Amino acid sequence: MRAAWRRTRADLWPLAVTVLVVALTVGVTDAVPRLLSDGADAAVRAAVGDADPAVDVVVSSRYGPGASDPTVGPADTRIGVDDAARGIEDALPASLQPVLGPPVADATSTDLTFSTPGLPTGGVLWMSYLWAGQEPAVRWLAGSAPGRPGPDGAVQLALSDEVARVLDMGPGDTVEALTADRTIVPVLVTGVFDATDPDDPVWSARPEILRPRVVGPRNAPTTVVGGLLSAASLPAARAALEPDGVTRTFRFPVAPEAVDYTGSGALATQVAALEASPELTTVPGPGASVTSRLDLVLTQARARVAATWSQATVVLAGLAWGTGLVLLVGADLLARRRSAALRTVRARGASLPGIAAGAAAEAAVVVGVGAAVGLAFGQVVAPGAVSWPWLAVAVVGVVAPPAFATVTAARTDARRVPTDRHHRRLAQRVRSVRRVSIEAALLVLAAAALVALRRRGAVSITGPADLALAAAPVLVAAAGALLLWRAVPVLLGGALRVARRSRKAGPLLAVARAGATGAVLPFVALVVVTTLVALCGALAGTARAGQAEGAWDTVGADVVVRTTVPDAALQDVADELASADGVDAVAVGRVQDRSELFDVRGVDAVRVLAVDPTSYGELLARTPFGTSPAFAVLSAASDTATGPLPALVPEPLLGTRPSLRWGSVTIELEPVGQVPALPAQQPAGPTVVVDRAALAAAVQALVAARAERTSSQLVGAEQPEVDPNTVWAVGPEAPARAAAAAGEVRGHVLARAQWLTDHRSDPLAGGLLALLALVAALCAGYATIIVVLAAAASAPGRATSLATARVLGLRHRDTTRVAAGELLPSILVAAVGGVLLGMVLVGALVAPLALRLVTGQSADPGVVLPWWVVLPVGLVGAAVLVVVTVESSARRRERLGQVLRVR
Amino acid sequence: MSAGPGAAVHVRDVHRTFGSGPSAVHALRGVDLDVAPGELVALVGRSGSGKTTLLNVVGGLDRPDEGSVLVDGVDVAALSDDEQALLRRDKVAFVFQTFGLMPVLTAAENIGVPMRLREAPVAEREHRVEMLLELVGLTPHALQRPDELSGGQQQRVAIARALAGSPRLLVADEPTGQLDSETGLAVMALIRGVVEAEGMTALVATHDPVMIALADRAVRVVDGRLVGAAERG
Repeated sequence: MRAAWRRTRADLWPLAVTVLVVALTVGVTDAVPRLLSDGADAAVRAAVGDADPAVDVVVSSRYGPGASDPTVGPADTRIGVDDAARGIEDALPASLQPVLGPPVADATSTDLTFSTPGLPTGGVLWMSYLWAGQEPAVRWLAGSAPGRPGPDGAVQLALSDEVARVLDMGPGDTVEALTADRTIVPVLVTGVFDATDPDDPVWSARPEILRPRVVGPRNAPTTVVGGLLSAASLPAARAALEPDGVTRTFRFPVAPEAVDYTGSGALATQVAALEASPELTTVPGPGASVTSRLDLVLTQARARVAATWSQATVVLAGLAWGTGLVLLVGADLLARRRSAALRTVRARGASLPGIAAGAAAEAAVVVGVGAAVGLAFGQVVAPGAVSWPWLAVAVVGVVAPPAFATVTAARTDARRVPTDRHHRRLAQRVRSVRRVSIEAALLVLAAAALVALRRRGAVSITGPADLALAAAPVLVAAAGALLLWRAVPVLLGGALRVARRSRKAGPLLAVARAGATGAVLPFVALVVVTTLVALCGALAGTARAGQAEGAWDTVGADVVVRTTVPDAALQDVADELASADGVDAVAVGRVQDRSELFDVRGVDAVRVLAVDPTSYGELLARTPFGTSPAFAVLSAASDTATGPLPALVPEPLLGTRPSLRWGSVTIELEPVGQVPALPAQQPAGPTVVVDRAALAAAVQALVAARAERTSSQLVGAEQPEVDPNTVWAVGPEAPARAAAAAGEVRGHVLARAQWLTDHRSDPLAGGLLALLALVAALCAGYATIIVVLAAAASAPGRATSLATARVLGLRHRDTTRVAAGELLPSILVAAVGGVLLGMVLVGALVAPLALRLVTGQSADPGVVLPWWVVLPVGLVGAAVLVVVTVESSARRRERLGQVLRVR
Repeated sequence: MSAGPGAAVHVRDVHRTFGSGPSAVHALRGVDLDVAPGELVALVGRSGSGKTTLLNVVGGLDRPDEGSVLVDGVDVAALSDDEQALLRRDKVAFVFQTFGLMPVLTAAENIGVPMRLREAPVAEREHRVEMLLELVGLTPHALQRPDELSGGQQQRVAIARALAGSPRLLVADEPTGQLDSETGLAVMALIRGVVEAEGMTALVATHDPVMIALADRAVRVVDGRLVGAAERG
């Protein structure tokens, strides 16, 4: 025991390094899965929360013909709704019930058109009965609640204060509403109310009851309002709108906090099953349907989570492999430092199993301490149940030292090179065959793993990446390392030839020792970890740059204002922005997706971008998309065009004469150039760019010609409009100015900076980037450790060699240069090779790792190599210099006369 | 033989102690020694008597605690580390019991190291290496590494290397200690021969009676002191 402690104390620093490496890797591999799980839950909840209310599970059905009875009392109506809601709730799958809140039921008429004194141009009326366990609480400002129809047979309805004001109606007023088939439904307003709690979720089913909603273009708006039915008046409304004029809907809100990643898969499946088989909900009446985007939202969120898991698995697998290699290098160093003692105890009769057991016991303690520290660290960072991937690392840490110790002890001192040349060559040949076989096997394995990874992709929505696939980068790095290792003797051979011709001793000593003392294990380990540093760094750089590109791609400017329907008032917004301080460029246009383009090949769905080419070109010139002469060409062609509409088209359409369907007209296009790089061209498909003014003129001309042909009068509604729906702006103040101006058109404002901030703070994307940075930093640290361990392993030989040289007259200060010259070549080759391998690998892995899900781009991001991916080269170079300086300092204290004595 | 201050090696009242306190080892206790130019002196004594320490002090591998050591008129103890290195490079050569060859270099390259340290012209170096290889009879083994040579061949390489820089003083510490008697005899004869041929001074620590017999003079070292001439032959 005492001997074991003495031995441990003598090798304290390599053992401390083992503890450190194990602790760091165990901590990371233990904590990251929990952090990812938390991130996955957060991501799923955020996706559900962001999609609200579209994720609500909506069960609807019609009452059906002949089911109405205007004499039914209000109590029966309430009981009927309540029973139906309870029945649906009970019929929902058990796992879905905790996720869904209490339903909000409504029975709502079809669209009824009407006009009132306050709305002489007409509007759309919905008559709704609302129920959420009870009818919504209201204060009656005038009149009373609707009741059964009076002698006039009119359906009694209540209006909110705001709706009544817009319609200019009050209690006792009547209006004739028309169904789609022009059936008149007489409606009597019995009261005007104010919602006791306007934020009560019950109103969310039909917010138009409290606030009118205006839709459509500004020059032809449509006002949609809702009227409140009571339990007493609903039967009359149903009777008036027989057979299918009233639809009942049960909207089950989703509680995002009740959703987690684990249960989300089953949840999506159950929702999809309900959508496919709505009868499972037992909702009464015909035409049952279940609609919800919950399944789609969950599926998309799960895909992102799965992608992040896979990406993290690849990174963590790399870290684990890298750590394993560091531990092997450490075990090798320990065995070398103890080689004399091991051979001595072996010579004294110790059995190899006994030696292995002793080393294993020591390693178990060391790894145990490291693992305990790592697990404690992991629990501090992310408390929770311990995950076990780190066990693989711990096993390597425990098994490697006894293996190396046993091999070392088994060697005899009589390992001299046979003097017989034939025997030397034979032994050399056996070693070569063995080595080539191992290298070939590894190469084949690495190639197969890489091909499989590129074909299958690391991302699977059903689970984390295969471990074999996840190891592909490390296998490629290891295979590349072996090829590089093959190149090292060639490089050193060349250097040796030069050194031999030199007059100086230093280069010869350095290169000769470099060639003779390099070891394959630390070399491979160094290549692998530097590959991982470069790979993680490049992936992080690519992802961050991709996010920035994604922001430009999504927004197309510093800010974009979009309206759901085209609105000519957007031109006013654009003019206001253009005159504002801090806004450098503004463009207004119409973006029309899924337009039909006819050409010789058939029909394509294209995005039409109708803009002023000059202003849009100037705007794009201030973005990463850059200047394009195509816009000037389009502008010039559009100004002088008399025939077909000039257009920028995708490259395959150049030289053709395609036609564009725009509303009710078909416009012949004249391609005048190729579409330049534009924002968000995917997945919208190919884009066609036209001058908006020219498009409007072409449409007008075609409509007029058609009217002339048919001798009919031009009706405004029949003329396809070319009003804008998008305003882009760039400039430091553009987002703020756009936010202020967008209120006028009820436009949606999307600022690029905000998009980027939101995206980068996303728990999955942000977590992955943090993991990449952490693993890169750890691997950089491990690269330094490998250099130190490798240098320590060769230190005794180097010390003897340099002491001999010093005895012969080499000055002390020159020994540092010789030592650096010995260590640097293979270390730099490994580091540079590793960095290059990482750079190559990142190009091969961007697509399989689905980085686009991190960047938010529609296509795979372009590889970006930040300057700091080459940092490992400088780091290991600096580590070598520190090592040789420390060694030099130690040599200064060394008594030269003792070095070459017989020991 | 006493050569005085004009001697190739002039050692006066040299003390060297390793460690301190009760465990201190007094390796040299007031050693006086003069070696005349061209003289081959054998240092004789038991292990631990101080022979190697004296050689190290004379060769500039160690510094005396007290006393003075002049080699070719230069006070070795007063030199800085780098100056001592230059002294070893230009005037002193060593032959060790363990040969002290660099295993990563060929025999020829090992021999050429001292001349490389002097940055001698390549052609001159190659010519001298060839000549020395021939002198020690190892021309066929010029491209072999030390671990491909026998012990005697390695020691001959070491001797050739010692001669490569044309030193004024050859310091040899048990040069035949790891060789069989026949090989040892050949090596001793070689040292005797090259000392005479090159006109250098040699200080050789040895137990070997044959080597002692070949020396011009033998000095006995006992407990860090020179106790007079050793019996020869």
